[in-house]
Amino acid sequence: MKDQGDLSAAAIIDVRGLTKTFGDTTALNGLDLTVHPGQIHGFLGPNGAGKTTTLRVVLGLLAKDSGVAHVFGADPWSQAVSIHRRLSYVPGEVSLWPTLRGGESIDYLTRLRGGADRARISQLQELFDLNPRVKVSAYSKGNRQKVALIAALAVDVPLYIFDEPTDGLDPLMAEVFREEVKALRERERTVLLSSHVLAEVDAVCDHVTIIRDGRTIETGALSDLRHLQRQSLVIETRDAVDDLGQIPGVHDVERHDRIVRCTVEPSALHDVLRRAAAAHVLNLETRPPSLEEMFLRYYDRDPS
Amino acid sequence: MTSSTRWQSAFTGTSTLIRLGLRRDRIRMGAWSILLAGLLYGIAESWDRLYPTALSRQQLAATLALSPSLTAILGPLFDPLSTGGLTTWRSIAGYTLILGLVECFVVVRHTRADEQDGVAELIDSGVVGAGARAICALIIANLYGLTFALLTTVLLTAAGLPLTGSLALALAIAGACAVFASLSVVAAQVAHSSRGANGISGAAVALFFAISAVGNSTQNSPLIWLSPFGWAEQTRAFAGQRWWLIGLCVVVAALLAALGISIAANRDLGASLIPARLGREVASPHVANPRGLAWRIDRTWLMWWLIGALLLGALEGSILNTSLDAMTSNPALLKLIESLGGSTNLAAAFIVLMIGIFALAACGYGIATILRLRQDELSGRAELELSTAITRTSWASGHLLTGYIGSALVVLAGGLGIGLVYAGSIGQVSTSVGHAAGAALITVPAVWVVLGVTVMALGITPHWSFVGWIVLAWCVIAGWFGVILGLPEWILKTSPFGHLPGWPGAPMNWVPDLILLVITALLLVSGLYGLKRRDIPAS
Ligand SMILES: Nc1ncnc2c1ncn2[C@@H]1O[C@H](COP(=O)(O)OP(=O)(O)OP(=O)(O)O)[C@@H](O)[C@H]1O
Ligand SMILES: [Mg+2]
Repeated sequence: MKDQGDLSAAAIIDVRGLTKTFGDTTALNGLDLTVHPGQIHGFLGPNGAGKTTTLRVVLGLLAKDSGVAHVFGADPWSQAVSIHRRLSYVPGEVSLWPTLRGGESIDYLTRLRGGADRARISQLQELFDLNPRVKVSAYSKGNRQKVALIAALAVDVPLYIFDEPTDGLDPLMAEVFREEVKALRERERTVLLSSHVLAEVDAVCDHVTIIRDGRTIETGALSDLRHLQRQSLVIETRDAVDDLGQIPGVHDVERHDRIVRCTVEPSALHDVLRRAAAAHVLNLETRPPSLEEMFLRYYDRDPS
Repeated sequence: MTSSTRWQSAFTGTSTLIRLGLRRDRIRMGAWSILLAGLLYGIAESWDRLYPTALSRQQLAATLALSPSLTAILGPLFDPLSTGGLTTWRSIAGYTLILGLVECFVVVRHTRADEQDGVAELIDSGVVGAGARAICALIIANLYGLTFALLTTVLLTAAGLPLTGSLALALAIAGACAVFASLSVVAAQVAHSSRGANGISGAAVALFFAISAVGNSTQNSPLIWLSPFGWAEQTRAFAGQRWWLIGLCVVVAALLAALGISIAANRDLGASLIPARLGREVASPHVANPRGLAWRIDRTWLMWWLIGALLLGALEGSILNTSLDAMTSNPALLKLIESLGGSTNLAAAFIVLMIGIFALAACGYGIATILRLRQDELSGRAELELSTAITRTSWASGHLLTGYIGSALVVLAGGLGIGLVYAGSIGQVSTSVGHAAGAALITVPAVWVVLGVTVMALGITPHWSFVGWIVLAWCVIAGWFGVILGLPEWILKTSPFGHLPGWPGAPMNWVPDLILLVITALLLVSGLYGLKRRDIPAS
């Protein structure tokens, strides 16, 4: 318990055993989430898992029922304002003031956050291809999302929180967003990014926390988590390979002549390669599991 | 797509949409119909108590002939001897005004507001055509009118009034309101925002009211024929019905509806006749906190309210002037005015009476402005603002300030309008302006109490933040119909307006105002405290 306390002292976001109910619905049921400085932290979960609720508790918008929630070492409910000085947030559903122009909305939001460099705002408007002189009521969902993203990225703060940021952006703009997140990583800023767009977490995050039904089911560095996962193999051999399907931990075996495709748990990797080697390997392709496969596995919907 | 298939597909899904809309509106619809029809029943029942004999009713009519200002507002009294005639006279203008505004707001809510919030995008991308939404809004608005008409006919006949007259009164009101509903379908296409559409329709209704008021204040003025208010009044329910005027309402409503629907079916979603202009790229330096933002957002609409109040005040001032020339100290008229909440000093009583109307309107302005906070919360804008370095109190302070100060300015503008014009014609500028402005300021604390209820609900019981509207409705009933309904004094005193001294018609007394200010402060503080302690968005 002691070292845990030391660890969490360094954490920017430290959430343990968080619960929150709305009437009969239990939105959070003992959720843990720890984000350390410099992490680009993916926050994954299916619809209704409790991502937005967690972020709102972290922001001090919702009061927790029980558990621990600390941001920059402080209680978000009682010290929201001082915490907010050090972060920038983009909600999942961006709604803006219909009578304001896009540019005015960006200015207003950045001023509430303590002001931003005009050149930086212009640069982001160009990158995201946003016309700031149009009334917000004429914007599409994607354009409203861009306004909030620009307003959040234009200020320089230690922590950025995004709730499903690329929802509604076209692929080109989603890519622009990813580049911005990479730039934040280079500047050693901390990012918490909720998503069910797995490719996004895959592309930009280094750590991930996966939740379901208000509970954390997995957390850690993306590279560590992959280790626990199956590898996809394509093996081409000169001779026939013994039946790989018999080895425990080998799945989805498909054969085409001398080409075998399968997915392999790390524990079975050694056996598989030994048998393949015995049949004289001509070609070997391995692919780390996509987050998609990993994700689906956690929700008991095996993709195979 | 060719224009004819586009036209056809513009209306697919209308019936689904109507069912959806009805589910959204059925409670509101029922509540309005029961409230308005029930009140009308109470009015119909009151006459035998207030004016039991034919002689007393004839006296009332003779008195009214001397008072064009009352006739201007309420409309002519065609048959003073029948209870139905009196009921029609007392209710028709006010009812057309209230139900007309309600129907306009219903139309805007189901068209422009949906579009603005993106609900329409969902609807339109499905199996629903673009014109379908306009039709649906119109049908729902008219169902408000028809349920009201049905219930009214039933209740008035139950009160012993003749069926034909009851039906004529109910349909005359519903017919005039149908014109306003159609008008606001057009407004919803013309304006770019729902507030713009509400503003245009509200202003149109107020303008038609003013036209018929001016028309009614002089004999045989052709102006009454230019306004649906005039058409409803001239239908002469219970006094030899002129049904064709209801037909006229239906025809005009249908023509306007066709215009609005065809614009809706042919324009792009989100587009409007008054196009959204490209604007400034950089926000003005004032838009740096919630106060600056609220001012930026609310100022145009506040300005229109102030102009409207000033003009209506001026109109009332001029009517007041012509009518006072004809007035003698007539005891029957005094009794009538007293029953409306006035006092025995005629000119002063009228001023107090009219400022009372502005005060109720100012409550409407204030509640709508303060409830913008709730809309911000529901839409998620509040979440965006509150994730920055501002406190919740600071967040709320924007619309609270424009709501509180703006509502005071609206009453004051109405008072100044009355005072200036009335003074201009009698040549006592300082007295009449001083009286009217003073009377306006004295009324403000009562307005603020009503706003305070809204703030408290917003903070403590956010799902019930609309109670401000209910309190306002109660103030209207207590102030305008309380005496005629024979409600006991203590019930009337539950309205903050029931405690005002009525200066300059009566001696000044500061105590009620001070108490109302203290209550305002308590309500505000408790609301802000609740806001600090609760989830946002409220769960
Ligand atoms: N204000 C509220 N009132 C009642 N229930 C709520 C409220 N907010 C969230 N919930 C419920 O809590 C659960 C968690 O919701 P939450 O929005 O946090 O999920 P999410 O992971 O963000 O989902 P999504 O991916 O769809 O955004 C859901 O079952 C939701 O219905
Ligand atoms: Mg969410």
